[in-house]
Amino acid sequence: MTKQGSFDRQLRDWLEAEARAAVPGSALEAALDAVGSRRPRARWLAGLGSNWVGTPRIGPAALRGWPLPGELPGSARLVLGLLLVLAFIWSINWVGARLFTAPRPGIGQLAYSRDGQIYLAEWTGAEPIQLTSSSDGPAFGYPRFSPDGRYLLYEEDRPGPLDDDAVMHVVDASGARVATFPGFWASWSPDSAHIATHDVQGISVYSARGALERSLAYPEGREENGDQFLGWTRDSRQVLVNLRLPQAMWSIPIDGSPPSEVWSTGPIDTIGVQQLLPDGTRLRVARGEFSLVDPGSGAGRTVATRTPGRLEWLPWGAGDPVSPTGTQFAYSWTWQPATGDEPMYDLSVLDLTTGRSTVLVDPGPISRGPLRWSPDGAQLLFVQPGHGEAASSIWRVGADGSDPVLVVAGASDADWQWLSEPR
Amino acid sequence: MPAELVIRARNGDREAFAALATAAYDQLFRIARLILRNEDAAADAVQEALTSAWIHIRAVREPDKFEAWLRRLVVHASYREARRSGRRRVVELRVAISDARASDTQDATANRDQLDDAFRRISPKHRAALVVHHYLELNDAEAASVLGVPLGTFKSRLNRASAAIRAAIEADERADRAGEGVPA
Repeated sequence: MTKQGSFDRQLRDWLEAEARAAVPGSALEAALDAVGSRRPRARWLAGLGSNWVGTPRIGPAALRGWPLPGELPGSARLVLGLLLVLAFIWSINWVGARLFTAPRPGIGQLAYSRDGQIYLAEWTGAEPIQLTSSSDGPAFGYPRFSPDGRYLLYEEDRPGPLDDDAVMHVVDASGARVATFPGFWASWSPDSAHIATHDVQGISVYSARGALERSLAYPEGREENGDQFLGWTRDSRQVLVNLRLPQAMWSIPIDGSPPSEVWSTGPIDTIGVQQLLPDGTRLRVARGEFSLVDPGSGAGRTVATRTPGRLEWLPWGAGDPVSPTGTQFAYSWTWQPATGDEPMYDLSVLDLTTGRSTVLVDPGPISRGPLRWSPDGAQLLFVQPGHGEAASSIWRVGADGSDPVLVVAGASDADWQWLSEPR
Repeated sequence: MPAELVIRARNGDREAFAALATAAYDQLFRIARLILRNEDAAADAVQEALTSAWIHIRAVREPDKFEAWLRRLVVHASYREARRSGRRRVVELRVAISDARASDTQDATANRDQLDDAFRRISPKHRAALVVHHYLELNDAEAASVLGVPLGTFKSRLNRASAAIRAAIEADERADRAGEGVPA
C-alpha cells in the first residue's frame, strides 16, 4: 500500500465493503418512535416567511385580507401617497449614507496557509516566511490579522478525536507567540481588543493577548449548532453568531447580558454575519433578488435581480463578501451546464449603488474559497480552490476585473492586511 | 429524496418524515457506523440526528438539500456520540463476516484487516473526512459543508487523515516485521 492511487482505491473499496457489511434497519423503529415523541419547532422560529415551495407568507398571500389602496378613504390615500414619496426620497440617499472612510492603502502584508503551515509574505506574495513548523501532527490554518494589524491569529488543528481539539494562537508583528487558547473559527472585534471563538463550552471571548474575558452562553435551546463563523457589532460590544436549525442571527453581548435574536431567516439565503454592511444594513437574497434591508424598519429595497438561467446565488466562500466601503458585494451565481454534471461558478462583483454586476473570474467547475477586499474596495484577494487533484491558489484582481495576478500557488486560506504605514 | 415528501414533512406531516427517514436510514446508519466503528453507537447517533431533523425540519428551505442536511446532522451526532462512547470505552465484538470477505484471497483479507485496524486507530474526525471523501464521494465543497468546516480545513484534514491511516498501516507492518524477526 505505498502508491497513493492504489491506496485510495483500496480504502474506497474497503469503506464500501464495510458499509455493506453493516446491518442497518434494526434501530429504525426506535428512531421513528423517538421522532414521534417530539414536535417540530414552532413555525415562527423558522423565520417570518419561507421560500419553501408552497404558499408564501411574504408577498401577495401575506397581504390577503388587507385593504387595497383603492379601497381606502380619500384622506388615508393622501397620507399613504405622501409616505410613499418620502420613502422614495429616503431610499435614494440610503446607499450613499453608508459610505465610510476607508483606510489609506499602503504597504500590505499577506498571511496564508499552505500544506498545513502558516506563511507571512508581502502583499504581492513576495518574500514568504514560514511562521509555523511541523512535519507531522498539527495542521495550521485560518490566518486572520487583527484589524489594527498588530497581531495575527491562526488555528492549529491538533491531532485528536474531535473538533474541540483545535486551538488558536496569536502572534505579534515580530512573529512571537503572545497567546494560545482553545477554540476554532475565532473572530477579531473591530477595535482589535477582543477575540471571540467557538470552543467546547460554547463561545469564549479573549483579549488580544489571550486572557479569558468571558464565556458566553448560546441562546437557550441553541447550544448544539453553533457551527458558524462569528462576527461582531461595529461597537465591539456584541458577538454575532449565525445559528442553524433554524437559521437565525443572534447577538450576544460580551458584558453578560442576555442574547437577542437579530433576525430569523425567512425568504433569505443566509450566508452568515458577512451579510451585514458596515452600517448594519443587511443584504438579503430571496427569489433571485438582491435587496438591502434596513436594520430598523426591516424594509427592503431591490438592488439587482438574478441573471436568467442561473441556478443559485452563493457568496464567494468564507471571507467577507461586502467591501469595506459597503458599496460592493462579491458573489457567485452557479448554473448547471448542458453537458457534465458539475455546477459552474463565477466570481462577480455587484455594485450596490447601481445594481451593475461585473464578472471577475471566468466560470469554471470550481468551488469557492476565502475572499478579502482591500480597504479601498479597489482590489480583491481570493482563494480559488483546486479542482480534482489541482492545488488551490491565491489570486488578486481589480474590483473591475482588471489585472488578475496569481499571488501564491498551492495556498488554501489567506488573509490580507493592508497597513497605513510600513512596518 | 422526493421533494414532495420533504415539503409535506416541512409542513408537519409525520408520515412523510417517517418515509424520508426510512429511505435515508440505511445510508445514515452506514455513515455513522463507519465513523463510530460501533453498531449501537451508530444507531444512537442516527436516532439523535433524525430527532433533530424532525424538530428543525422547518429550517429546511430547499428540498434538494435535505439529504445533505441529514448527512451533516448524522456526522455531528456521531461526533457527540464518539465523545460519549469515549467515556464508556465501548468495545465492539464483530461476529458477522460477510460472504464476500470470506471468499476473498488471503492477501486481500490481510489488507482489509490492516485497513480495519488502522481505521479504528485514527480519530473520528479523520474517519469522517475519509468517509465523506471516499465513501460518499462528495466534492470538496460538499464534503466541507457536511462536516461543517471551512474548505481549507477540510482539505487539510483529509490530507492529515490519509497520512494518519497510512502511518497506522505502516506501523502495523513494521510491528509485524519485527515480530517475524525481520529488520524494520
